[in-house]
Amino acid sequence: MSSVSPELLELCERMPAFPASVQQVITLTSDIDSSPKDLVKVIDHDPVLTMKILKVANSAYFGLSRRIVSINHAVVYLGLNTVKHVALAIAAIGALPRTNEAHFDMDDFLLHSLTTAVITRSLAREMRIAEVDAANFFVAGLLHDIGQVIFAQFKPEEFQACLQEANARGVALHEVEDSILGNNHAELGAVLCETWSFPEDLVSAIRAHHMVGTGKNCDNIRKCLFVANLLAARVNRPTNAPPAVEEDELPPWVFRTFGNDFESILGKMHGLQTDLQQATSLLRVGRGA
Amino acid sequence: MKVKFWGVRGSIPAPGPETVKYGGNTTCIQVTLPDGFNIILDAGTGIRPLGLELMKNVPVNCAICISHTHWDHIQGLPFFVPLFVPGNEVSLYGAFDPVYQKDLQAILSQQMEYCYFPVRELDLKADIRYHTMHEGESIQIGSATITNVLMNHPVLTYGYRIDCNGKSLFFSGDHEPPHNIYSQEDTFYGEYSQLISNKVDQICTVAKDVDVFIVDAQYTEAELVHKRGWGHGTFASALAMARRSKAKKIVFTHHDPTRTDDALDRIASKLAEQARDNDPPMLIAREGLEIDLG
Repeated sequence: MSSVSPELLELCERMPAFPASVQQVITLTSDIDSSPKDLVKVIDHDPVLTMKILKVANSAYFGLSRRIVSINHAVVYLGLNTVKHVALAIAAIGALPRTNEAHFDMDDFLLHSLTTAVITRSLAREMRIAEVDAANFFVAGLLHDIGQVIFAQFKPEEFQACLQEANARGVALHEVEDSILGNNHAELGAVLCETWSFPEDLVSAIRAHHMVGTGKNCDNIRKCLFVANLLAARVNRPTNAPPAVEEDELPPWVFRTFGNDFESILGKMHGLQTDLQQATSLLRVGRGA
Repeated sequence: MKVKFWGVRGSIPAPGPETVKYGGNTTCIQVTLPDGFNIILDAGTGIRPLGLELMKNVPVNCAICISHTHWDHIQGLPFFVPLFVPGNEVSLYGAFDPVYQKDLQAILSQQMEYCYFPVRELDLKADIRYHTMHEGESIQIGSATITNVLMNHPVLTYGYRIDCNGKSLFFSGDHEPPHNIYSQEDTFYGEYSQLISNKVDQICTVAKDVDVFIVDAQYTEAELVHKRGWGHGTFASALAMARRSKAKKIVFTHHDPTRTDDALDRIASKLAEQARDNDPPMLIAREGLEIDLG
């Protein structure tokens, strides 16, 4: 892989969270009577807050023997206050601007990330994966495209060129990123999560979320994320970039594992619409809708 | 191994006629190993008289394990005389604070900044060494093995287990049993319950079969209702943890500053009445209490 510069990693340390979450974190932390689960929900649904809290939880300061895989896990393990203070510290940096030089639609990005997160978790439940582990799948979905925000924030001109070219030629964004930026958002997200000692299966699922794979070499989290990313693009077609793969191009393992076609996979996921509505409700608050 | 309590109060010292029996100093526990080496758990105001006692045999060579850096666990340190005298060796152990990004030395140096205290940390004459302990780490201090475990408190807090020559003790530091933030009908209730159960298991595994289980019991169940999230346990929750750890003796400590001698006596009687047949002996910590583990 191409290297990710130390400067880029350092810039990520200073990356602010999304506007809606910043506003909510400040409101909830300044109200002594606010419910912890409301705060957890805000953090849990923001890729930047989630990433940074997992970073602290998995940092070398602790050298934990076990990896912290979700925000609920972090709250139980490190305590609500630690999580709250980290969230507040991130909120204090400010919010990601609503518009950016790359003309990258952050709201659309968030919607896709949350949709992917919810579907990845639903697929995990379909596979009868224990609830505690399914949280890890949600995080994988939430963070899989985090590399795109980092590019948009720190390499806006090049990333804008990538978006334009991907749309103009109808090709996958990660391929254009490879040629213009020298690496792609999947790799960047994975390297970041790797640097911060996130669980290994989470890192490799993010790295491979555009790689079809043979099925044999894929663990469950990778399979679920790969498919969820495509399904999410079907639920809310992203405006940022065209989907990387179409349904009819998929290998047989996808349908062997999850169902005959996209329609039926989505159809049999119990309570998906409610989960999606709940997850994206914060987004609507942020947009003032 | 011998254990002696020098401070048993939580939050703030509580001197006065109503706390004469149990004492008003904040947390400090002296653990003397069979070879005479002293490991001190926390540096509340109780460490001041302990320092004077230790100075009867110079040079002093001891270790201090800090559970966390809230005032009541460090406020006696600037008055711990052995720190001021050349030739003494004091090793301090504790956690790195991930929120403030500071280690023990940084936090304790700030405590002794000139606007708070007339002697700076730099001017202390003893040979002072700081050691950051990682979560879950086991280290050798003198002839003892010390293992820490992350507890639940507003700041990062370690509980410590000390093992030496087949005897053991566990000190919880400040700890509130985690409670489920979700209601039963919420999607995440089950997941969260499982995470809590794993966490409690982890603590009780570290404290398993100890000879003495010293534990934060600042509140009664009725008080906790209004003080959830403040980071302290109750007599009932402390007892439950000790039972789950199969501890051989329980000492309740970190008494609320408003808890009078009479109130503690009443609690002691009630605990004795309600004890189950197979419960280990229960004691209320008081200044001067000594337990010889043999």
